Amino acid sequence: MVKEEEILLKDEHVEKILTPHPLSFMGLQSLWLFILLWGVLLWWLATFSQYTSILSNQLILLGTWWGVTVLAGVIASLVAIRWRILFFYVGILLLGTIILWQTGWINDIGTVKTFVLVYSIAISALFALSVFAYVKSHRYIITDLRIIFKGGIIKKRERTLRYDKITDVDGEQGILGQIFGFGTIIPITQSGFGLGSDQTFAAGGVEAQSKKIGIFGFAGGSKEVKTPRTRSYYELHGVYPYREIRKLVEELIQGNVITPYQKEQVELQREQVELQKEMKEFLEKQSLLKDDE
Amino acid sequence: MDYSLVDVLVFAPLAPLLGLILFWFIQLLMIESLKYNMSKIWENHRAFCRFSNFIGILFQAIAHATGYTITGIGVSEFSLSVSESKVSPKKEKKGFPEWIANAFLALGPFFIPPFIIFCILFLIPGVLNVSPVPGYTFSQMLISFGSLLFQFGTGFLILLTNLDLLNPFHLSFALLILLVGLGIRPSYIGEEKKKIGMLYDLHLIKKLIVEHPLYVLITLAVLYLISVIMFLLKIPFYALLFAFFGWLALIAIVAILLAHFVVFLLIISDRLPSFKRFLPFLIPVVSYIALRILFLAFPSDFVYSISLLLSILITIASCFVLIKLETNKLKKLSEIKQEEEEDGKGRGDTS
Repeated sequence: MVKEEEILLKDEHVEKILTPHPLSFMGLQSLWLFILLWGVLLWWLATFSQYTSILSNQLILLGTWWGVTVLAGVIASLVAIRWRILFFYVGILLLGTIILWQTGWINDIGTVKTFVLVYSIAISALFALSVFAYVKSHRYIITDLRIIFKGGIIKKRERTLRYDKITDVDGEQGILGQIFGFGTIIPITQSGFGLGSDQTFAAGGVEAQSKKIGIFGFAGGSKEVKTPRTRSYYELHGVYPYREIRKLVEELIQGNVITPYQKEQVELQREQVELQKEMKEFLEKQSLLKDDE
Repeated sequence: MDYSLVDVLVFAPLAPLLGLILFWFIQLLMIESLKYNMSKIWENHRAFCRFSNFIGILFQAIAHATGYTITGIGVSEFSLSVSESKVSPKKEKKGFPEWIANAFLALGPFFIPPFIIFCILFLIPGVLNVSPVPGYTFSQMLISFGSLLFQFGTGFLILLTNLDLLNPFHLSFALLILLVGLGIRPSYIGEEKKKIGMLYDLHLIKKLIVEHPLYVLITLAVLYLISVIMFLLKIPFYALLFAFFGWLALIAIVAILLAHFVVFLLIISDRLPSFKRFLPFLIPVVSYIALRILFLAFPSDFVYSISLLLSILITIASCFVLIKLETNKLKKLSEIKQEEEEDGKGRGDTS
């Protein structure tokens, strides 16, 4: 790991080093929380509740486990527009079922119940650790000259953003952020880095490409809205304390932006330099003429 | 039946109303007490207080929007944050609709949150098994109101004490009651000492009454009319109208008591050093599970209620013991001096 001092330029000072608040990745956290809670609930339903008799068959128990998890995966995938959530859930279920099948535990309902509980706890613990590692892999270094975004567990990413290149700053604070005091700051550059697009498609369907029109061959249309959005490695994601950091970033941008008065001063200095150059040339010519005489 | 007509027609309709006001006032005092206790933990538990503020503001905004919707004013803007909410009316309506909408804003936050719990209780058999006591005089109406509260209260208390906290659904229900308890607070807790509290709420209600006495009189007239109709038809349901709000107040009081318990644990936790600050939260969980395991060996009909009540008692007792051992709170001055002397001697010996 490269130390902060090694990436700093000459006379560059660090203002803040930040990592995201763990709760700022609530979307990811909720994925493992669901596996855990559903596993525990299903075990409880199959062991202690009034539905014990219904869930006393292995196939019904596994069917319920599969059904609810897949349904949750579909809903989460549709909401987040990421089908990998569904594939991930299906992968977990497949692995669990294969283990049950290969070990022969599937033949005993008591073992299946215990397996669902233990497996859910183990998988969610593993997932929770991965999310923790992912959160901790983010590092944002705010210096007096630029913002350095670093991250990645295996593949390392790094982005440097100078304050004079920032044209706009977008801020976002959800309810959890307001309660715990964290928020996301997206610096948008002149090149449009930090902007994503939301696409909606009239008349429904699964269309994703913006230029295509038509659903079932007779109707359709698409709309695209540019919105501040980027990957968590390229924004100040879930930083705490949000208000303080936002103010600091705004002040640093302001400090690097040339003001109209400063612009006027620079112009004046340039004119003076030009004048001095002309004077110098004139004096040189004069001295040459004197020498000739 | 022996009764005076003056009593029946003039005083009796007021009896359940007075009973309700008394009950609501207890709720108001409890809210004020919770607010006072929460302001003490603001510095160390800002996230918790902000969360509580958010639930309170959410209920307030819901009450506000319900008022506008019911009166036909409509909602044009609805925004919510941890510190404030904004509910703008779509149309401008003066007079009675505006008064009703304001009444919702002033009284809604007290009754809408417990109404959520009430809706769940409605689905549970046995809790709402109440029958009004027939009576049409002032005292009989008061007895009827009290009896309805008692019947509901008993059922609700039995349900609460028999909650199996190892059952995910029961646990969720208990958590919902806690959330409601934290949210029945139209007052804001924060750094800025905003003048929003019991007196502000009462001022709002006073404004509702003083600025529009005609509407209050109309409301009272309608109540009297209902009372007379009920009396003539010999239907003993007049007290039930008010008992419903009394039940909501009762649910609210229980929920606020639960919230008090959590705030009490937080206050105790703040006074304890290092890892011991987690003990007030661990003791109720560990003691409850231990008691439930213990009762597996000694089965009883009252496993849930005994486990729950004993667990609460053990927690409270342990908290006081921890405070006595770890801090100077609950210690006599002589004990503190003696400890200081011993501490001084000890230090002298080692040096």
